[in-house]
Amino acid sequence: MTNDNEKTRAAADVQPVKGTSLWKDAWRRLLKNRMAVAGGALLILIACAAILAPTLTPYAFDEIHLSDGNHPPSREYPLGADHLGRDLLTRILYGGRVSLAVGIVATFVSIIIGVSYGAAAGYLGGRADNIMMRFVDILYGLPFMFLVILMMVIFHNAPAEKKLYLLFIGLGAVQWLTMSRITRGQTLSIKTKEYILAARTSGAGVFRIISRHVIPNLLGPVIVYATLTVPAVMLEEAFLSFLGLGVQAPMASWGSLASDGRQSLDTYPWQMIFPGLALAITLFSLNFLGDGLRDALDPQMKDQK
Amino acid sequence: MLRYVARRLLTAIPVLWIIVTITFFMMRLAPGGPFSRERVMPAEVQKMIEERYHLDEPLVKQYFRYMGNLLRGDLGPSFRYKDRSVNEIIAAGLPTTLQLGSLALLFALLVGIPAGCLAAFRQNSAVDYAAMSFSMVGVSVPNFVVLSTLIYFFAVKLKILTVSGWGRWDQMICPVVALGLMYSAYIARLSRAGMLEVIRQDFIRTARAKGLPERLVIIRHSIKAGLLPVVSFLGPAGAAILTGSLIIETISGVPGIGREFVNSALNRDYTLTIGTVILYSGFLIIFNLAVDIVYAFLDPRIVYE
Repeated sequence: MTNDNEKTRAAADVQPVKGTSLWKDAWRRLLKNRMAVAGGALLILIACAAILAPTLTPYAFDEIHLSDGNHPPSREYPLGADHLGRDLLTRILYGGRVSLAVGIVATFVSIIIGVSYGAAAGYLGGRADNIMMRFVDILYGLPFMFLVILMMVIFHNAPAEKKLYLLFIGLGAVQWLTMSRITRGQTLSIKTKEYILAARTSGAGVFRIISRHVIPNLLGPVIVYATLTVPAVMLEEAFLSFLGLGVQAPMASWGSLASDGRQSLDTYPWQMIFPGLALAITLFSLNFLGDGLRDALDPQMKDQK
Repeated sequence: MLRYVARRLLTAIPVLWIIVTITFFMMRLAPGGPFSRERVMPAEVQKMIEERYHLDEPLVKQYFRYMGNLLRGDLGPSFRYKDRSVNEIIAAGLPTTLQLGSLALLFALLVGIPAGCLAAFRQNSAVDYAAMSFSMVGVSVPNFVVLSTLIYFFAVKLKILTVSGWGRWDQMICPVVALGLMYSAYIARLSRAGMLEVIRQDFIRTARAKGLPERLVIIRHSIKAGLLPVVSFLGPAGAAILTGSLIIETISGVPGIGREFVNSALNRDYTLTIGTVILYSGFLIIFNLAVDIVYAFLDPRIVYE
């Protein structure tokens, strides 16, 4: 038994060596891509600003100054104020927390579902694979976004917190299909590698092989696709917020702020422009970073999507 | 080929059935009903209305009644718009939505393909960077922000276009551009990637070597193969443009079917919601099938059995 374990560990030990060089290589390639580096730096900055929001502004995100309603950008309100006199910069910083959280958590949900499903289908192969992927094909024909909208409509009156969870799960569920296809493709090629054979000979079970040997080795393409999923999810969140089905007041996201600001665009244009800009800059950086990661980690994938 | 099409259409039936069933029961699980928001009615009137729409029957019976009508092509009466059937509402709104969608798709193709091709043939030039930055903006800005900004500048400030409505060209430009922009950005990226792949291939070198003018190399040899990724994107895009038009129609006051979807779900207009969902799913299925068929014509290596 101990012998078995050792063998498995020996098989597992092979990866980090190969893994590091792969990651180092990718890292070097990524650093050469100036747009991707700029995007990454900007993202870190935006994320820090959102996390440190309470220390960056003197206001609370729902602090109302009715006498300063629709105040234009000034020294007191760097990006202006909304119709209730709430500081827009503060709201954008806090809104960023929600927008980023939705983007990241929903992507994470899609990774968990998609990767385990795809890896299982690819590794099991044969009939199981056939049935599982046919199922994905069928799901591709489902108008998922419609179902998410429907779900948000149905739980329209649910508490804000619950709706946020629904948003995570719903938007994650929209995205897992492509993730599972990518994972399956990768698994099919990983399956034939010697280290999988080694693990199998030393008696590792299916679950162990998938979780310890297959999944760690297909993370590259998954990370790349995930970076491109985050902006897609954030756009969908903005889309739902516009319909009044996203996060609920007094909570705000960039999407809901922009959509609130849209109503007074002719008179107080900053109320839409700044949240819209925050969203656009973040998505811009994410897309550049995602493209850069794809080129760095997986030049083969360049033509997909 | 014909058999392939027939089989695809046959597999569409269970998919549609699943969608209808999910939507049907999801709607009924939602709290509130189509008549619960109106003034308090006398119990008798309430009862009569429920009887008229068969809401007093057990859910399962209602389901089979609905499915039976559906098989005859009858989507039922609208619960919200008195004396109008869902078929009538769809017939009234669909042409406008289709017009908006196809104009947006046309715009996307006319802008995206030339931009992508130009970028590919002048790779790493200023043109390339300009086109790709533009497309990055296109995929990073939510369409309601784009539309609001367009309306703000061209209709409110410059007064050359009209704020809302549908029918005249000055009403149509803003919604069409706003809806098409994101797709033009995707198409530009896809056609650039596809073209880059193709122009490195041997048959292009041969074409150049035999002295074919560059214009003919592009038109006769590269475009067909290079645009395959664009064609496969058109399936989901064609259907997604319908969903996207939901927001555009609301903002621009376009009397299409897109905006009916969310409204009907919010109003618990059960039949109209299911009707729009069926419509959308049907489009998705048909578009995907059409894409696969076009694919076979463009790429002689693909054979369907």
